[in-house]
Amino acid sequence: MRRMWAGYLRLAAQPAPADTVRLPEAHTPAFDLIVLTLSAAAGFIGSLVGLGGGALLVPGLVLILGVDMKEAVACSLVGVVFTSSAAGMVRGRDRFTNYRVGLLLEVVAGAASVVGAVTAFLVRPTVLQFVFGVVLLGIATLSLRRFEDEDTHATPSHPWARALRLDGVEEALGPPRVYHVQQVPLGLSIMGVAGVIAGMLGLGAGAVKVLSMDVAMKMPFRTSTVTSNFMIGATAAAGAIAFLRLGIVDPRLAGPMAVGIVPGAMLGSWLVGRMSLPLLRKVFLGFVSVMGVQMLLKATGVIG
Amino acid sequence: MSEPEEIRTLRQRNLDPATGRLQRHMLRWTVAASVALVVAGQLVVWSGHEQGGDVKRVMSTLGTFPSGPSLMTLGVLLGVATPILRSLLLADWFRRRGERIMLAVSALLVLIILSGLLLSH
Repeated sequence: MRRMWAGYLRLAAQPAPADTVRLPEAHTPAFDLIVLTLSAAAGFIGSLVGLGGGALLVPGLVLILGVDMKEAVACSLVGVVFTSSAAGMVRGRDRFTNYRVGLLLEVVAGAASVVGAVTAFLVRPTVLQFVFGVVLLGIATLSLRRFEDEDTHATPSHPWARALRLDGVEEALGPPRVYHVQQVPLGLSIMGVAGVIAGMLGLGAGAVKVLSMDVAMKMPFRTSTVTSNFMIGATAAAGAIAFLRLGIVDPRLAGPMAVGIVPGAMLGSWLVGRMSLPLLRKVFLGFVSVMGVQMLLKATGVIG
Repeated sequence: MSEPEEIRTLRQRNLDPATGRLQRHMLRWTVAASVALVVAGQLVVWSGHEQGGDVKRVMSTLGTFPSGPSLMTLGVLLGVATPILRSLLLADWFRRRGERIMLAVSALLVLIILSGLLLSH
């Protein structure tokens, strides 16, 4: 195990080919406008279908604009922070957000996000692209699953949930319904994976976070998604600060991304209750899958 | 405890409306300020044809204030700080309610978010 780890670190520390570590030095207005448009589309579609903008932003920056993978990941994390903040401005979400669960899980996810960011800094861009492709396909599959809330009212809460008063009431649909939070250690473990994915790949990893709360901790789906929206900002901020400290975030790229994402995410959040989404969601997930495959092909050198 | 009683107890654990309103105001103002700073920086870059050189080091970039990249860096930093402000607001809410464990969890989260500052290149 120790030898494997040493081998991994040696592989990770190898210098990357010169053409993949270059930052885009020549930022022209046209380049900035493309980034702005791409970010607005990512924020809009991401908030409509419930996936963070990172799934669209990172492949867009790498495959379309030729931005270095690490730079794209770092700037995408900044974009995810803005997406979460834009979603938090919407009124009425506080009733559905379980801040206690969110803060507790965030402690693990935030720490894991810093680990993920450092790993992304160490490994070669092709390794990142490969992992990104695999994770994107996994998240697309995860997002297609059907959600059914489990009634946990008769089941006692996990001891940690009792101590931290994590239980809550689901009031979104129909009469209020009490839920008792289960399997807190399992939820924390899954959140560790989500944090590493977020920090390493510049994703919100909302699908994995919802899985942690909804499947492992048996929380209602709607509460899980809204709480996840609160959490992705803190996870991304932990990774983004690590990248800022490591000198990878280029504000000339992250800035226009933030400016594009905010109106896109706000418009998406406003439209989400006014549109029929299943078809759009399937189309977007298909699109994300194609980009996942493209990232795999780019990582393995099949495409340039 | 009967279900109606439990519902009443659990509802009292929700964020109170005043703190929720304060949180939304805080988010609106910080996001608006950071977007305004980024837009101002972008306009300076476009109007002055600045390339900015190596803008990867945060402190050295901020030292060039009020250049375009320094304004954009300030905007990005303010945006990234928003989850920290949000966690501090929740920490204060738990402090007012006398919930020491959740106060400690919130404070720990702030430290973890900031832990990236300990990294060195």
